[in-house]
Amino acid sequence: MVHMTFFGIATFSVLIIFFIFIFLFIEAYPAIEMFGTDLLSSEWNVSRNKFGIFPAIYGSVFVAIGALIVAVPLGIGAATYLSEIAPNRVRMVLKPLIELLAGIPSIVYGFIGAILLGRFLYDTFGMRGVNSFLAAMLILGMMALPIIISMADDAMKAVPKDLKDASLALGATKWQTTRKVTIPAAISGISSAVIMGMGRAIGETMAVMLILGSVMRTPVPFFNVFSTGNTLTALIAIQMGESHGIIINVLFTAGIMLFVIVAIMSIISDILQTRTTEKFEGKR
Amino acid sequence: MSLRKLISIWLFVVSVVIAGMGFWAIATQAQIGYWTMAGSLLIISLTCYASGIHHYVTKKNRKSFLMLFYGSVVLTVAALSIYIPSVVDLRPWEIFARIPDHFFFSMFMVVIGVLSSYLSFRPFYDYKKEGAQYGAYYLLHISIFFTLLPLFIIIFNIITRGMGGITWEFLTEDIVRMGEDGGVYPAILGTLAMISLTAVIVLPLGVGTAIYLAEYARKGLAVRVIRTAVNILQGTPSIVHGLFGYAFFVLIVFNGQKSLLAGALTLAVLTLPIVTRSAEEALNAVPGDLRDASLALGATKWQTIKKVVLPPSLPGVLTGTVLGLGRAAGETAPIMFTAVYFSGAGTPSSLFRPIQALPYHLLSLYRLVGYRDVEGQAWATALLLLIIVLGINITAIMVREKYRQRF
Amino acid sequence: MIRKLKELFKEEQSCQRIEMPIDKKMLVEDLDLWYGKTKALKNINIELEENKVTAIIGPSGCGKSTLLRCLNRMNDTIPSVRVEGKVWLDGYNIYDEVTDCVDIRRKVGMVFQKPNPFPFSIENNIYYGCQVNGIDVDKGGVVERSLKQAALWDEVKDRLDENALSLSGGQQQRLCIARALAIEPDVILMDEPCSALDPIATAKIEDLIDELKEYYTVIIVTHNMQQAARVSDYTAYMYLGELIEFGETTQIFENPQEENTERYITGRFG
Ligand SMILES: Nc1ncnc2c1ncn2[C@@H]1O[C@H](COP(=O)(O)OP(=O)(O)O)[C@@H](O)[C@H]1O
Ligand SMILES: [Mg+2]
Repeated sequence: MVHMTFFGIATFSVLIIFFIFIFLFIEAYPAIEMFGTDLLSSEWNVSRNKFGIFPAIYGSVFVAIGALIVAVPLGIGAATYLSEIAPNRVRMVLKPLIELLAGIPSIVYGFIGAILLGRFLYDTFGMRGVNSFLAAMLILGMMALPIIISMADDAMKAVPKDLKDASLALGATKWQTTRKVTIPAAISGISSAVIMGMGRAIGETMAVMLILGSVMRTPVPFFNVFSTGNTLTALIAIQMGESHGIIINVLFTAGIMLFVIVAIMSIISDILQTRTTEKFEGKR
Repeated sequence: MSLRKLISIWLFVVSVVIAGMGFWAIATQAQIGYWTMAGSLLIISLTCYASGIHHYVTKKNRKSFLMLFYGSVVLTVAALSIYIPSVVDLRPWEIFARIPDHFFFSMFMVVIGVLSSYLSFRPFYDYKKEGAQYGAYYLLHISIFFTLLPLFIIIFNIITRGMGGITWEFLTEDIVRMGEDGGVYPAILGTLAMISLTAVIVLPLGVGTAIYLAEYARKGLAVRVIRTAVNILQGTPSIVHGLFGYAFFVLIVFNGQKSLLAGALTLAVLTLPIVTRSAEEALNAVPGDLRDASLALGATKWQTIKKVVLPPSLPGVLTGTVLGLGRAAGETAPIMFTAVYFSGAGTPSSLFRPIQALPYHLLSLYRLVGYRDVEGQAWATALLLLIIVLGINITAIMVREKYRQRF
Repeated sequence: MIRKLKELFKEEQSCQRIEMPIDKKMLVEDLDLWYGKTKALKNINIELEENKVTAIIGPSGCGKSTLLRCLNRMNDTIPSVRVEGKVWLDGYNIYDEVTDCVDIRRKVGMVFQKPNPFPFSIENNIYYGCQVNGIDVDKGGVVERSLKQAALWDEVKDRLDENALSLSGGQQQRLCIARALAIEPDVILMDEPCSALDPIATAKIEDLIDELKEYYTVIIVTHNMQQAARVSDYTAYMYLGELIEFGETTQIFENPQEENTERYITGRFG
């Protein structure tokens, strides 16, 4: 009886996932029915009734890749420092600090990014305005750092000490051990950290909306980091408040895409992580 | 002390100073001239030559050619940069930006400075594997430094710029003239009311799920599905929660009316995975023999959980909940379509009426920057929000650290 | 901090040296070890003979593993450990300030209690030691030689690129021995190498140890007295961090001088 009660509560999470999908779909359906694949075109023009969200999809991916270029080297470096060389006392201080970094609200990141970083880049590069992909990538990179660090740190900490001992006993230095044993052994956990970091970057809303400017166009040339642009998240956040009718349904389509993309990433990351634990727990 | 080590140390110190200068110049937009940069690189390159030649002469170690090669690269960069025009204009490629030459020069100083200080560990340790180790450790220290630097920059800026705006009036009054005057009193109350309500909703759900996963579940399909769902929910972007909250709670449950309750329900969905995961972790930390001992005395499973497992894991469970609420307090996207107005909602009076909240207040003020004189108020709001959110987090983390070493 | 800096700038001095007694490979002299505040080894003195197998026996928790790990400075990896005393290897003190513990571990290999192959292919496991020490050798040759020495070659020669974790426990342990042999150490330390294995795998490893002593000095920790009696030439008996008795295996087992030893060997012991 008690068992069933708790089982009922536990199924709630599953139910919510279904609910999210279903209700997003209900709201999105009119737009999908009306525009079909035109939704994937790159023309967004409200007065001509064109709602192609390709620029936002491209923007989401572009900004996430840029953020990873910033965050992956720094994050893995910091995680390696924390798990392999930081003395215990230092670790006890740094881990909570990194957690605090994760706790800063994204609207604050966005505000600071737009005001400080945006103006800084505007002055340095003589751009047309304070909004740019470059600023968004830097800020999103910063925001993805804590999650990458803590997951990669966990992955490296999970590598059994006997493996490291075996390497040291063969005359390897600590760094050789880290580079050739610990990191390869933890690689699936580290990849899962990177994927989650990317998920965070793609799903981030407020910061990217304020910093990127939410202008519905694809950067030209495609790698133009000084251009303004839009992402799926920013598109939804800006337009929801200002639009009526069919546009709302279009935004829900964007929401579904976002949800599905990030859900797939979560699942992949999850599989990778289980694989790491199985590798070390199943065998020994 | 040998000349070899002295040269390496000199190389390290000089490179760090040069990298620091370059970094400082980028940050302050100071204009580094060609000769400053070239002179710096020349010093580095000459030091590299000195190190390489001295090492080869005294030790006949061919690995020291690395420094000769690297010195030449640095020299080449310094020499060729004279051809960098004073402004590289990207407009011909339809990119609206100009990169000034001093930016390139500062960049060279940073990159080459860091690289040289990294390489200086090689000759110091005689090109043995320790050199590679300490060089790598040096880079790792740099990466942790640059990870934490933004935290300090953000906190420093918010405090110095927001401090002045936090006055008695700011804390106790409602918005006046679109936020140019007045304060955030209703928004503070709104945020606090919202997260309290969220806590009431999420706590039983999250802890219940955790108890099922940690205490009752056997390995099997159901558990896998539940766990995956929790993970997906944790990764779901907050704007999607906002959309869901709007489509379900606002449109269907509350007839198109934004309200405190709709916002809290949406935030409960958002925090559910955080609470579940940390509660599960806390329950798992209770040693198995405690349970066995209780069961062996004839207690039922539920009695065991209630009397033996829950009490010691309570601090952990609460910490997780509070961390989740810290996240909820700072979120904007989930509440902007479900619960908040910028102004006019007043102090929260009913579960079914909209409210004002700090994160949304900050967003609205930001949008007015440039049109109205609200930047001071915006910084003050950012500071207040940061204090509330980080305050919640720090309390939670401290409680956790205090109770961590219990088993 | 200052001391650390001074250490950095100190020039290489030559290591302390002594004449080794004939036929001896390692000498342990007045060795004490603390884990934080608890003293785990008390004034150990022992002489280890070259190309012989020495067994260390004693009840669990008496410090066997700790002593073994002192012989290649593996204890340096535990932050709370403090060591006093000297350990001589071929006349050099491995605890001398100027000695590099990484070099020591190249010369003194180690096999652990639980088989711990790296999650790489079999041949990369073997080649790893050469790689990290910059030993420039033909990979195939080293792999074949080491696997043959460890009596594993015939079983794995067709699947050298398979993941080492796919081997059975006994094979994994022999792979770990082969891995230690690949860098041609002088001494091999084994910490209860058979305790995680079944009797057949144990027998194979015991045979192997017998062959190894032709080329290497072997020191083996075991809590299995029959095993000590079967494979070793010398036996050391430890109790509560102290070395109670050390001598030829036949003497220790047939005619122990100390009452404590006798009680342990005859099994009249808690
Ligand atoms: N890492 C460690 N930290 C603190 N104490 C330890 C550690 N390793 C071993 N000890 C203690 O040192 C003593 C000897 O341990 P060990 O050498 O492992 O014994 P043996 O191998 O003979 O069973 C034991 O009392 C043990 O508790
Ligand atoms: Mg032991």
